[in-house]
Amino acid sequence: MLPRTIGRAILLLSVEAFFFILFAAFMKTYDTGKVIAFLLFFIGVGVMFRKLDRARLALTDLFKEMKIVAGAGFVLMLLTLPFIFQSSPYLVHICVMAGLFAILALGLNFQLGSTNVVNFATAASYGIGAYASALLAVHFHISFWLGLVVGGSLASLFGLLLGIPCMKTKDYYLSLVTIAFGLIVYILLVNFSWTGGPNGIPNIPPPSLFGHSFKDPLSLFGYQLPFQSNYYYLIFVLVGGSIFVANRLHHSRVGLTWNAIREDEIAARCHGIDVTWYKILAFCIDAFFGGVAGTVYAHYIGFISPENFAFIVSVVVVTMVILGGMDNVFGVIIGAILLTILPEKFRAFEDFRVLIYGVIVVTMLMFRPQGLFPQKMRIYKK
Amino acid sequence: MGRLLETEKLTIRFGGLAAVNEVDFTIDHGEAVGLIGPNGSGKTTFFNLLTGIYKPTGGVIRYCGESLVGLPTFKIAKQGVARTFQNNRLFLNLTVLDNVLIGMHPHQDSTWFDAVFRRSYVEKEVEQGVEKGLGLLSQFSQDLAKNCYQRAGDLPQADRRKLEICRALASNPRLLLLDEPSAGMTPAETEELMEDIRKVRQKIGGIGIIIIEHDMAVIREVAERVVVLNYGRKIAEGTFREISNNELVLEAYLGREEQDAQA
Amino acid sequence: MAEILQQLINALLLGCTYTLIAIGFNLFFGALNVVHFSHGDVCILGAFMTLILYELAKFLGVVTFLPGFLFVPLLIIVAMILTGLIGTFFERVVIRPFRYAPLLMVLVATVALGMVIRETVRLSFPHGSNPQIFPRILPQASFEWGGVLLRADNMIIFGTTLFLISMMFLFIKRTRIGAAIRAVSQDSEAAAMMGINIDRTVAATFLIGSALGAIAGILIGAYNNIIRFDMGLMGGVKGFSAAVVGGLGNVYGAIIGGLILGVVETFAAAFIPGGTPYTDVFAFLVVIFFLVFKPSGILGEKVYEKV
Repeated sequence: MLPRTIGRAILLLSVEAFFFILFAAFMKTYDTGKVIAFLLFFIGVGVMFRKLDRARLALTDLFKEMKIVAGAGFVLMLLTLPFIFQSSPYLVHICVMAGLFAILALGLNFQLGSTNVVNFATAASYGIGAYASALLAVHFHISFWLGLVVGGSLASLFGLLLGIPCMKTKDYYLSLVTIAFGLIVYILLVNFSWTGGPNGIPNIPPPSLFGHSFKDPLSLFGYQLPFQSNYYYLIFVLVGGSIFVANRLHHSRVGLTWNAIREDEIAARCHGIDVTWYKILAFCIDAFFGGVAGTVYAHYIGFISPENFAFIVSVVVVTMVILGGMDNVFGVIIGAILLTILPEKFRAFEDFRVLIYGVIVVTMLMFRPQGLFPQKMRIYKK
Repeated sequence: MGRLLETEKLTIRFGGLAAVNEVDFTIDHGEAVGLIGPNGSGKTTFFNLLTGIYKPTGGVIRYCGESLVGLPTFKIAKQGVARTFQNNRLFLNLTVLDNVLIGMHPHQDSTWFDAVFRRSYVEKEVEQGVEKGLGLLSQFSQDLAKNCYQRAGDLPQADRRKLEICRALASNPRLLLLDEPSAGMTPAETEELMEDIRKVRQKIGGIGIIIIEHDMAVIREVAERVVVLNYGRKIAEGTFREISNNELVLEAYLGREEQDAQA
Repeated sequence: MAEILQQLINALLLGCTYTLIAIGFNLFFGALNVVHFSHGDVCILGAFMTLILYELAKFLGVVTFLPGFLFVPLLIIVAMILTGLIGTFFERVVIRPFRYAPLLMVLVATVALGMVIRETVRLSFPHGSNPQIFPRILPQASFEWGGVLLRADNMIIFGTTLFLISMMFLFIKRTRIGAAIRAVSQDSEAAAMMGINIDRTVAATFLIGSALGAIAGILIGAYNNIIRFDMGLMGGVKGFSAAVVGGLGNVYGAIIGGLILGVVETFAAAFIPGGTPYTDVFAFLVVIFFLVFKPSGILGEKVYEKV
């Protein structure tokens, strides 16, 4: 029995390693032709996976059977990423940005995916978190770690404020409110003098932990890793935390209640659900995630301006959730990663980036509205 | 012990039209009352008033001695008023079991904080919910209990109706409002439905049921007392036998004779 | 007093633009119960269409042999028709597939469509990210009257808007297609059963709405003398806001909503010290106020949820 288990574990890990190496190689490719070749290969694998039922079932069984091994292997591999990209900080940077957007998308998923509230103000909570902690750090020398909590909480407060009109409004009207709020925050950021106006805030200090400043290279096991690695590991922890929270909420009464509201608001109310409160809750949690992501962004880049928090950012996050799969935590993260990495790989088409986002959303909604990874039914163990 | 629910001169006007007009209605604990009337006579609107979806323009609703007027729908539901809908409002993209679990919302209490930080509490809650839900489903139909992970939207019509009743019962209601439960059912399924309702009344002592039906066989079998609405007004009340001989009721259903109308 | 009057005129002009955009939102909402979030971009597309046609005409030398009072109306009419057709095309391609889908999908799809339109405009013009000079197609004369400055182009704008809006009302009231539009907006199922071709009626609605929107875009261009690819976003949000304030789905509400927004914005800029950069903020606050306290808008009827 034992040798068989070990054998299966090795099989599982080699499958994971295979894809991980492919991913790393893909990241290191700069030639547009090769990038396309890689993508075609990935799509091919995906299609094969759909067609070959037996292989798919065998693999999913394998992963289900050894959840812990699979998870541990995955985490370990991700932790080695900065070592693999040691000589190209730019790649680590992309991974950090992918992580930031994953947090934003996970936050939005509570609303867009679980509750069917289309919130176009993600950029606003992202910006509020960023500006709050940046201002505190620049003017009052408040540490990043405290700023993280303050940024998140302030954004959450904004979420509450944004959620209040939803007592009376829904659907289009609620979306209009979020758009209006997003634009208001942007206009205020541009015009207030204490936020630096259109010029934003420069020289935001990097965080430091146990005397190690995040702008210094990271030395691990005798390796010198680029300074972005600090943020990579920070984001790694934060994304992990976000997934944890998202999963727990999804598999609780709260997640189920959100789903009920998504499916039928009136029926939900007739079953004792305080729709307003649960929507406001979704707003607050989403905004908290946004605020945290914003704080990290501000201290990581060291410079923020209103342009970083324009309407388009909100739409991009919406795109990520829809592409990945609404109400599917894994899918949403994949959506965020894909939409962060792909544009970087197609630098040659930089100008078409936003256009392509738009086209992706429209075509996805038409041909695969459930996203790459559709929502899964909850199964309870007996 | 007072009345389970009573309304006095309950009225709602949409513009000039009084959809429910000064209706006095009572139901006792453990009673089943049929609510009948031609299409558009205000039966469903009456339910919408009781559940707070519409705010009455006049009149009183007393439930266990306390007024329900002005309370939001979810609070009314929390006090033990559960309902089904005329055209089925299941949570179609969720499983059968999840639908029933949502029905338990009013008497569960875990919050977002519990969900994130107190896993054991939530797990226990879910576990108990699943157990209770499966029990409830298997009382109604072994099929539903067996296929509890099926998407509710994939169920046939009769099963949907049953599931909706299960979902309503999951909240341990004291008053159950059934809006045309037999619509779209075959005679055999209707027969089964009546059996189910009888079972519910046996199991849950003291539950009051108001049932809107067009199928008079169901009303005759299930309801001890019948209230007839026409153009938003209560035109008759009594046992099924009394009602079926009532002039006004016959008139409402069959229409006034030609000469009478002209006279 | 003259100051207030002057600002009132400005408010009226701005209100006209918003009204023209809002009419589109209301027509579409009436016909399909959908909010076409990229309608603002379609409107600005009308302005860009005018710009292109103008350059084309200049290139072909049409300007030299056609007098201005003939050339300009012709230019505008062609731009209107083209924009109307583009709007109909968008309805067919992007909105119709979602007719029976949840509201959320068409909402997100049209927001994304707006992005596509804006980017396409930006990418198809040389230096598309910069503002483009809008041709001065209207006479630039102005005269003073009791301390109030009246610009000829503004007068023309105002007159045109009034004319077009009344034409549209006449069209909806008097013609067969107009009757069909009214019927569909009352109850599309019943209308379909009475033999009305829903698809064609909806297409007509989008043709009219988008063509009127093109005028709004041209007005914006003529008023500011520049147009930029991303003006449609704000224009659309404002137009939608005006529609909501007036009562979504009510074509008359568009006029009231547009005027209210116009007054709020111009007066905030003129009479609140330091208010100019924040005009949009004031406008949105008014909209949010309406959404919270009177979500059905000024002329909208209270909607009872069907249970």
